[in-house]
Amino acid sequence: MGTVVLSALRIADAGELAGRASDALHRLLESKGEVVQVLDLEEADVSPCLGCGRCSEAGECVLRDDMSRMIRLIASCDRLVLAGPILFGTHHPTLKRAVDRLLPLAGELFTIRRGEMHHRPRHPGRLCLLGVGKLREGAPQAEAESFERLIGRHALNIAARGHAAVVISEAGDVDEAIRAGLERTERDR
Amino acid sequence: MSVVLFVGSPRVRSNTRSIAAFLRERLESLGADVVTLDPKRAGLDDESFVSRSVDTLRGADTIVILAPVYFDAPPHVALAWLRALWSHREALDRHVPALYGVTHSGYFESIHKRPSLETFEHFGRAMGWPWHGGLAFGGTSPIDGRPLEGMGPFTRRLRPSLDRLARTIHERRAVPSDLVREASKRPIPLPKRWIVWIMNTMIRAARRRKGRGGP
Repeated sequence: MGTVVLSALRIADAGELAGRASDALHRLLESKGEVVQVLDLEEADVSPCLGCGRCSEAGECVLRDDMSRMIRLIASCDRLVLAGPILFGTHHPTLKRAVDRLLPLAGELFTIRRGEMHHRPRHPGRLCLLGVGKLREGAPQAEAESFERLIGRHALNIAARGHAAVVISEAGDVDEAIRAGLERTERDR
Repeated sequence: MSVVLFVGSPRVRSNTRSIAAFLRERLESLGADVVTLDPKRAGLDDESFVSRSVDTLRGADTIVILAPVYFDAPPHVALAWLRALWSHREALDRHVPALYGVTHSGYFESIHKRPSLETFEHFGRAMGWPWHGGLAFGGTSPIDGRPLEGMGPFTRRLRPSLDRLARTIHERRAVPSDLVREASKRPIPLPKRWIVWIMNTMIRAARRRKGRGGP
């Protein structure tokens, strides 16, 4: 149980506002007194997915690094937070390197979920998903909308109990946006 | 015309590479000069690959990004390349190639591929490169890195759609909507529930042979 955070909010591309978002996220999670595990991708050892597909059968990745430990924690947590800069409407590659390694969450067999073909989840019905994306200065709003849809796609993919997407930009109140995102996923837990 | 194909897949037996090889052959048969940039073979971490990409792109009038879908989006290697180009955008200033995208996954529905095509489009906008559209193919898992020719029914939608895409690229036109629809059709015209049942039956049979279980 508890929350696992995969965060690229402190990488050089993210900027000062993302650093504030990272502080706010940690502060708000700590204030709830729950178990929080954070993988700071600025410092973590995470190799890119090889695309070998062996996790589909075995349920675990052949690579051994910080993500091997995190995937076990994610399998037993009830909230996953994916946080980082938005780049071209999707995750920054530093965060995506970790997100690609979430493939062992999917089982080998297929099912139909909301009319779409999906893999059966290996750990069904446990997770809530919160996406926190920092929109770069000057990026069009359409990138924020793509990011929100992407988090919705992830939630459907892992059969999440609920999800929320928060987009941080210069125009908004960072603390308030993250608090609202945490509350929305809190209700679904 | 000069075309750059970027292969954004981390796999060794890559279906994206199979698709790129087929598209390259079709473009060359139309008289295009084609360069394939493949970081899996060259190593994206190597700064010289990025520099070579920038030099190659300066001479290209068309760029096609090809990438599979990993967890609802292009894989890390594809995004890292897009980010690298964006960070070198000043070196590519005033160069305006036409941008196309091709994405694919084992899932049949095109909705799984939509975020990837949106990303390619956003990248084009950020670079100032006009987005000419993209194709999304489903059910590509059986290719398993083999050449598309001789793959029979599994590529019966893929090959003619790539043929048409090559002609579209050669004429520097936007991808027509009827080609988008044609490419997104299921390669095997069976109801979705039947396909899921057949695939699960095959997986269970393979498990029994190997003496294992699991979700």
